[in-house]
Amino acid sequence: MNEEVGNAPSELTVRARIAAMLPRKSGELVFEAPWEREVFGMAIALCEKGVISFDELRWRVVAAISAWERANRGQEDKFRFYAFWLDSLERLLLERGVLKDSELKVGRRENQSD
Amino acid sequence: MLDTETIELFLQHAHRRIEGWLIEFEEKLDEGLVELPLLESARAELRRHMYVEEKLVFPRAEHKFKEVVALLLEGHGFIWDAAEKLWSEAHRQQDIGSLKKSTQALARLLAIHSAEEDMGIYPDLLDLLGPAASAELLRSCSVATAPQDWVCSARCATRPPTI
Amino acid sequence: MSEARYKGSPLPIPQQYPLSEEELTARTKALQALLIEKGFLSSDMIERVVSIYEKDIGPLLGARVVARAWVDPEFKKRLLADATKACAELGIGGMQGEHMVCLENTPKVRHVVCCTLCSCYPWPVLGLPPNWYKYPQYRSRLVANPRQTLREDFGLSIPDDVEVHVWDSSAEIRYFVLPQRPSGTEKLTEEDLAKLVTRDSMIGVGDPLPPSSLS
Repeated sequence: MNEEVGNAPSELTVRARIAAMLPRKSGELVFEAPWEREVFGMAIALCEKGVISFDELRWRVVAAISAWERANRGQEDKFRFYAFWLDSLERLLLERGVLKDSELKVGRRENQSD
Repeated sequence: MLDTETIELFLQHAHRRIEGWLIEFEEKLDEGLVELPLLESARAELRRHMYVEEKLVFPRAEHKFKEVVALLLEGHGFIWDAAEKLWSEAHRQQDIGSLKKSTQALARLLAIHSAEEDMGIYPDLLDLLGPAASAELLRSCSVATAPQDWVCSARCATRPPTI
Repeated sequence: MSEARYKGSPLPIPQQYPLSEEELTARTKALQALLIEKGFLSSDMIERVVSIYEKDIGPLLGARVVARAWVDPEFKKRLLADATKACAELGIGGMQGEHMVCLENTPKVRHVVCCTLCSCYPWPVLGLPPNWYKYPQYRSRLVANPRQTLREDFGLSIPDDVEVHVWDSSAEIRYFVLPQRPSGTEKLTEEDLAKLVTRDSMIGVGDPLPPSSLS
């Protein structure tokens, strides 16, 4: 028997809606590099944990892509979808106070030397 | 009560199908074949999809997403031009290398544009319009066909090529 | 985007792309390390999320059809009699002229569906066709030697006393499979049942997930 919880979308619906937005090649999710998988995984895991909202993340991703597109006509071959996710995720986490700018900077410096 | 197909999924699926046709066309190019029927499928679906967006979807979203819709319409123009270039090239000559470049150029434009729509506009349609109106929009979109003489309003074949 | 969304928060300024692969990798690693250190995530969690989306659980619409058929015997009858019409009951049926047929797996019969073109795939219920589905080699090997292909390519071993039927989809008739309901699922809700249905099980090259996958 199906149980309804008010009008809240079911977990299945939320996942399906997110899944429908992702770039695919022949039905398979496209990750061109390991970091892309990790960015995606982090973002969605944080959404599922309720740390950030997926809607807020996707709005930032779209705004970033739109701004980039305007500034980069003719450079479409440089488009990296998940780079915008990474950027937007960092911004959102900073805005929400989940992370501090100084922490991110230190982390980047440490990992750069790997 | 389980959910049903939404206007959001309908439009996103159209994106994936168009991408699919172009991917197949490119894969055939890699085999040295120019499969015009694949390109014709992409062309027909792309044309119909752009018509549906410009005539039915964008006008409903414009008041809330003014800037984004303006950018998307502009994007349609570039996509239209890149698509026209590809179709005419494929019919005129069969230089595989050049066709591959044109196909990839179109695919990239579509990828960026689709990302903006798939993640930005489409998921908000249901909230924006409410269940009844978005169901009605789905109905009209699923039966709409582009008239023979319809052309994208933002196209500009005289624009210098950026691809 | 609408200004209202960004109350109190400045619009993002695009980074200088392209960033190099090294930079992107380093930044990702840094972010991940930070989030794990602060207890927001574990690397298991990240991997699990990716695999859920990669396995394409769902595709949602088809999974719902299957789950409904598992719990509702009358719906199942209608589905097997006229799949297009039954799917329409659930609001599924994207393109015009699409004629779908549903094939029921039983303890004695298993169905596998193949085709060579993107266009023969039942889009409305199964979403997007997987890459391997389109390869002519897959089709010819499946038709010539279904048991071996299923075992070697998909890790699916079918006992000798079970018949295997291979179906060739066309633009006119698009087949999909109604897999058998996994055991131990008597108490599950329709929604949870849908989560067990994979795209591969609806093509016939895999089984649905076991109920243990829900935890």
